[in-house]
Amino acid sequence: MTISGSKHSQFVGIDLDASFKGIAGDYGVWFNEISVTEFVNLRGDSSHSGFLTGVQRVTGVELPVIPNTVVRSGGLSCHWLGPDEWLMTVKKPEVSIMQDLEDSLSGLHIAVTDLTGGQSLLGIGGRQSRDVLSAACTLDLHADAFAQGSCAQTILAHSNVLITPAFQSSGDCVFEVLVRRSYADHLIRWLMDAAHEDGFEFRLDDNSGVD
Amino acid sequence: MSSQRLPSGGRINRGRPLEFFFNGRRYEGFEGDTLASGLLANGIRLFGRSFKYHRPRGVFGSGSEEPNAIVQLGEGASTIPNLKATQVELFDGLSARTVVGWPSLEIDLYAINNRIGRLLPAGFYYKTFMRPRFLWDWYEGRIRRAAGLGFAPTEPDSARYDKRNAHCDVLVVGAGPTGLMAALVAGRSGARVIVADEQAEMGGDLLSSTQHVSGACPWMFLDNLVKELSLMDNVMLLPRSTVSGYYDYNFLVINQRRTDHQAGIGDIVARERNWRVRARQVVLATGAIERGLVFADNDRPGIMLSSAVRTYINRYAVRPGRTGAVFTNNDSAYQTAVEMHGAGMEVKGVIDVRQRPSQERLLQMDALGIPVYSGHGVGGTRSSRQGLRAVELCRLSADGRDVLTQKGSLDCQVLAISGGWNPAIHLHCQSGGRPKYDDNQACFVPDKSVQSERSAGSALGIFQLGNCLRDGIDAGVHAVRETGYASAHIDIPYASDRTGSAIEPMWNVPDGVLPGRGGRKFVDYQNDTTAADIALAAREGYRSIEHVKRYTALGFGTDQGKTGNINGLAILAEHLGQSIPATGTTTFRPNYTPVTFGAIAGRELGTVFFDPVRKTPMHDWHVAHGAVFEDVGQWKRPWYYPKGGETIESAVRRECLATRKSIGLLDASTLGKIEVRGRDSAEFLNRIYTNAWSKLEINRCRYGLMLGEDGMVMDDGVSSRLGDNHYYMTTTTGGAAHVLGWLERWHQTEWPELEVFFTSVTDRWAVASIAGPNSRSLLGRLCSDIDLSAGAFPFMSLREGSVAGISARLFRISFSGELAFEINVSADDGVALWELLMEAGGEYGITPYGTETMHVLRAEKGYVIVGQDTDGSVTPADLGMDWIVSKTKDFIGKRSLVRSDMLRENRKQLVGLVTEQPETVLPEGTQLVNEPSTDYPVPMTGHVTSSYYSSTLGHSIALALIKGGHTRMGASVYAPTLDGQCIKAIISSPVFYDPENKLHKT
Repeated sequence: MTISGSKHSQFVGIDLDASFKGIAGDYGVWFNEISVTEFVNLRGDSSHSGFLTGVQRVTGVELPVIPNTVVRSGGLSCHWLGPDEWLMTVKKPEVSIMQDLEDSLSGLHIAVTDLTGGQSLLGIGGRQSRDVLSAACTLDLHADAFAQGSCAQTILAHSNVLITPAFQSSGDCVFEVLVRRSYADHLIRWLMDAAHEDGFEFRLDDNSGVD
Repeated sequence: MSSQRLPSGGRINRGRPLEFFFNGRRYEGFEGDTLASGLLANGIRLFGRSFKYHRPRGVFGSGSEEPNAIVQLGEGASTIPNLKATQVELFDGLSARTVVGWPSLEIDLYAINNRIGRLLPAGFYYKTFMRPRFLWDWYEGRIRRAAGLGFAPTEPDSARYDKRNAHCDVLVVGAGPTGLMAALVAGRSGARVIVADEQAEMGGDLLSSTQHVSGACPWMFLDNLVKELSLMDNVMLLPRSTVSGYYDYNFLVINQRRTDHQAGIGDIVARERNWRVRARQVVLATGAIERGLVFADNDRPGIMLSSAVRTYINRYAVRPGRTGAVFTNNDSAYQTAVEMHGAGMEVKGVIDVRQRPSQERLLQMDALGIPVYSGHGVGGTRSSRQGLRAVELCRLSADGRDVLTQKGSLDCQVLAISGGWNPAIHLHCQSGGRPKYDDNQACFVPDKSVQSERSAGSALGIFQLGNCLRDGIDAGVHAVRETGYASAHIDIPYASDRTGSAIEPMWNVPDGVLPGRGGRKFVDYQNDTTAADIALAAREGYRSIEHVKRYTALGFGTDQGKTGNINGLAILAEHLGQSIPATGTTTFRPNYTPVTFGAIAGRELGTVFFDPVRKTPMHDWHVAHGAVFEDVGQWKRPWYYPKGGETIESAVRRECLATRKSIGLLDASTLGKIEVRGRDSAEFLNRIYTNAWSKLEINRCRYGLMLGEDGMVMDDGVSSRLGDNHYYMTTTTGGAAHVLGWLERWHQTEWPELEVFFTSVTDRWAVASIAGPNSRSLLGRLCSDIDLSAGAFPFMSLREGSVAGISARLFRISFSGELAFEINVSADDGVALWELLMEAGGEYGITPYGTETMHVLRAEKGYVIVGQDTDGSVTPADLGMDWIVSKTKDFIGKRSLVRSDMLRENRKQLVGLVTEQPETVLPEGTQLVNEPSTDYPVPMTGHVTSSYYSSTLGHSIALALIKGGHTRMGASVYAPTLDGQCIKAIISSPVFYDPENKLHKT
């Protein structure tokens, strides 16, 4: 089995049938690869009103200016990365914002950079997802501390990541972990090992996160 | 060896008998036993031999304070050395051995040390084996065989180890009465609580107690408490979990032991887990540890802490002997006399050093018919093969310093001793708090808190159960309020505490004989440190307790002196004629108890997880085609692609020749790539690179050198201009992250006024580099929308278009000296591009090559690799690259280039080397000398930085840094090798191939 035979898959070398039942006899954790059609890194001056409105014109959302927050709308997510840096993910194949942002912001001091292909978005869900992540993550992942609308840049298993909790209507949380492509294989293997006693499986259903 | 198991009681599961082995013999115990209680129940009193004198020793304590009963658990790869039998939970089939004693525990030949002990004082080894020095290695081997504890397994550890990070409002350390009450308050108040306790069962002293709480038996009270806590979602209970370290910012580490108590659990569950906890508030309910008494021959098997005797009787339903006595300087041990009596032991008496024990105690003993010898001490002991047989009574003087009369002896197998209680202030002290001496209770207690922690209960010097329960509640209320919760109501449980008389410190019990004549008075059992050793240290001039510790080994054992340290420092204080607080304690450092290396390493070990492995988009193709990989930074890069059993030499030869003659294909995806955007991009690049960038045209590329502030070469790479204010920088593979940080640092801290942004795109692009005379022809077959002719697409320029339908950026740059194209496509398309190139290149014999061939090809051209041919002490001029250093503009490192040392004539400079024998390849790193002389020391003139056999040229080539090398063309140097040869080489230009630079421009 491979993930939809997609040329985008970062898990080429991973045996996706390598599910493993933990001591509870089931899968405490599941992983999937969330397909993202466009990753865009945006730099600009958020104190410049033309910049904010220019972005909003294209994306329909207000750029988050509160540190470590994310704004989501209809398949588009804008993550705050720094005072002048954001990461946008687009999960709709028919939508592309790269060129629209360039056009809408032309004349301003900005950098719109296409990172598509260079990033992987990993979904981690299941009863024990928080436990398994906490094997690697030093941040407080409790729902009270890491609530809907938060995101955090941190280090997981020596890899730089951006983690975003996506709460489902059921109250369950899927953690979306963004990692640079070259680290993806290492990270997933590390997490599989950390999930050893809780059990894990790979899921193919895409976009388990909320938008 | 009759069974010493009591007919009823204890927290053991009599329905679950267990079989276990000790020193090869089979015994039976019950679930809930420790190895120590199981052996005591079988009538075993001799547990081991002591470290230095090889004296017989029994179990002394009942928990992590145990100094004597040290065992080796299990066999083979999973054997664990130096466990305390008092902490090893019994499981079916457990097998343990004592760690000291040769050839056996019963007959230990090294026990001769006990006879000649007068010749083995503190510092004996330092004093004796100093000379001759060359024999130390031999001595050391002998001494280590005679001493030492268990052995570490030599096989790899197959167990898994895990780590968890955790956050909580309140961390409660210790689940005794105090800690549990604190946890209950915090839990009911809604705070996030973690309760960690080192024992298998929560309860602490309640487990060993018979004292009723709120009218109920202590175990009923305890069970209700633990049940309520375990049902709270906001409370996590961690048994078998020792808080081993307390660090800054309320960061604590808990070592949780998860599988050692279970047999045959397999390797799914991690054996140990280290919890890394960030706690907002910490309640230290760590309890107190009883200390022993220092008297002559106080180490016989059967002499135990009073609290341990109580624990074995009540918790494990084990009678540690048929007859017993108590020796104490405080009230707490009287309860042990009561428990021994209750367990059917014949209690021969309570020996109390105090002249006037409390009336209440005397009446209590009188009612049980137990004589009390007040104002008495134990002057010595006698033993049988199996341990204690009798204790000798002495009448003490009023000040307790002298023996007035010998009063005969009491026959007993067990002597329960209590020298008072030491609050476990270890974590308080690790957190930065100081210890404070409490004269009334003769112990150190925690002084002011430095971090967000509060000690509570016995850890604070509160030794009565009722007071501990109340103080636990207070600590819990304090903690939840500090973390912003309203504290929940809680009924204060009631316990009837007895009043009594105060402890009377007795640090060194007199024995009425001349110094050096009586039995040994052990202070630290595990290291066989005696009161005489401490006295000797004081006589020899040691003043600091830290020095005395190191000289006498006091407190250096695996028990870290939990029962003996305070006695030791008090004895030192006496000899120095100063107070105990003036003498002070040794430093309390993590870890509280030993932690395995596995738990510390966790998952970060071996080649799999120690460091991330970065892979290029084409990685799996390389694997499938037999590539041998090389680590470059964190990246795996194909090193070479051996075919049919080829050696590296023949593979590289084939790859080099194929590239020079037709086409080679290299995965260059790992190069660092940074987009530079903004109005001031060119100006920024001008300041970062040594050469000028303002005039670079759009779609043109330029090679650049970066220097550190010190003027030394730091990184290099080709950067290109994509648009008016848009550049694309490449860096070395290993330097990518550093360069991005470097750019941001200079921008953010020095030149924030420049409008420029940097964004890493290293992972976004897959890069396939084709090099060789046929590369244009191949590309022409796949690319129809770019004019590839030299005129339309000149060297050092870029074009955008498509290759086999894949959108691509093409760069005409070359690191091989051949006509070459670097094809950049989205990482998603990397494999597809690679496979298309391989397919279309088939008829040209396209050959994938790895980093080794890349190195040879570039060395033939004299291209340096930063970090291989440079080492942080090499300037552009040293490399012969003055041509790239601008004379007109400023850049980082420029000022340093005119320092006098930079202008020195005999600086090491980059040159080529050709060996006299064409087949001889100089070893990389070899030092070079000017004369093949053997008169040492030979002045060194330089070293080889890169060295290969060039199949293209038919001889070996090398790059080297040689003093004044640029002016020494044609001169000879010599490379002495490790096997005694001396290779002659001639200094040449570093450019060996196509010095006219024609090929790559074709």
